[in-house]
Amino acid sequence: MKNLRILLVDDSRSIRSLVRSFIEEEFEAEVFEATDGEEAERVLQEKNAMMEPIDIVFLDWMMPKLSGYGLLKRIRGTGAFFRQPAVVMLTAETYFDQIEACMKFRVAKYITKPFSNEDIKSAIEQILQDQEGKRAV
Amino acid sequence: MPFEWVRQSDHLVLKLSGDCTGEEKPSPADTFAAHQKETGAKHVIVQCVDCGHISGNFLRELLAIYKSLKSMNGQIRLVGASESVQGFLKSNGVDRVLIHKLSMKGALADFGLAKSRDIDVNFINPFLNATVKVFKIQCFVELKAKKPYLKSTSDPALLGDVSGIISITSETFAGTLAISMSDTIFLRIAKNMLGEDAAAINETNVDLIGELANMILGQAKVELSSLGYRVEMALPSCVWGKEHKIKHFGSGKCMVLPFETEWGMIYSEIMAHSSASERSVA
Repeated sequence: MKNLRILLVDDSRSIRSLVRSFIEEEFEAEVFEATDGEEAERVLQEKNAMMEPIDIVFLDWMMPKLSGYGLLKRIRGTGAFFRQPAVVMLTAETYFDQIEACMKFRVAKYITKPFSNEDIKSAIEQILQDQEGKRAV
Repeated sequence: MPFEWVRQSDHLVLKLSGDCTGEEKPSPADTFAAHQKETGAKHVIVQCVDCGHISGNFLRELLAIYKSLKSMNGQIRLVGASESVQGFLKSNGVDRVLIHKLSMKGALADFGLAKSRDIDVNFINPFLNATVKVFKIQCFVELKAKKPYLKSTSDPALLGDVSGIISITSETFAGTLAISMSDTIFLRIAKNMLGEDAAAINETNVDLIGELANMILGQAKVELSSLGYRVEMALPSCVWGKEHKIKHFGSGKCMVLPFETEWGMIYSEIMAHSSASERSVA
């Protein structure tokens, strides 16, 4: 799929680099990066204002300034003008109650670190399939 | 019955299940008196993991138990309560007397009944398993665990050239997890994972080792949870350079877990001590 816009939010450059290189190899996607929740929120708003909204956000939990969970709550609390992206949590936080808390905010997939390329691929493919399904309906 | 008393050597556990209406006969408060008299236990843990709902009447039963315990200098703690049950306690203004703890260990620590909280084999295994798993899945490196050993806390030097460090906090202990390796191994792993052929460790690539420490703790806490430890995570930090130093504060033991790779040894270091009296700083 062309024109897929993906935002990687992680304070680890290594993780962003790892995920970016895999996505660029497997999908025709434009990839953006942010190092914390606040920067990610700015990117999301800017892209939305430019009518080029982000389709998928890969979101770490534990980050400085604003956590991934904090950003997730802000994203889902934003009004109708904002086109909601699909969110994939990609985090070392592994407690069931944390996963459950994210699911309340409509997380498409919760991937725990360590992760494989296949985890990333299947998350994106599942989101694209769901979107195709919604269009068909 | 939505409740059952379980006798432990030095406390009682009230296990709740389903909806607790307070209409049960005999009531929890009535049956508590008999168990307390026979065992002499002065502390009660209310295990709420399987409890869906607590009614006002049942809350009165718990408060009656609280009152009895208070008269004998005993304590009561709730463990594993859902958000709705915790909210119910708070809205009724009893959350400061029916105190909720995240784990049984936390409740026992409040009673002064927790056993030694320094590291032991049960505590080490989750970190050992997590380290092997993280390196296999994320770095494509097979680790062979060698025999762990204790290190003197007065010896601050880690065993490698680059280390990722993350603090560990829980209700019963605090500590530090460090993962350490030589620069040669680190650069090979970075190449394995990221395809980057860096000549040296630098500001750009060093965050990888902090991320590995983060993942190891994330995986270990699943297994620690099944042992009754609830662990909270923090942001990792990275240190590098020959003979770099990490200082563990506190009197806890420091366990070194050595692992063999095809390129040499890597090490996990875990230091933990009771969080009630001391703090650890990396």
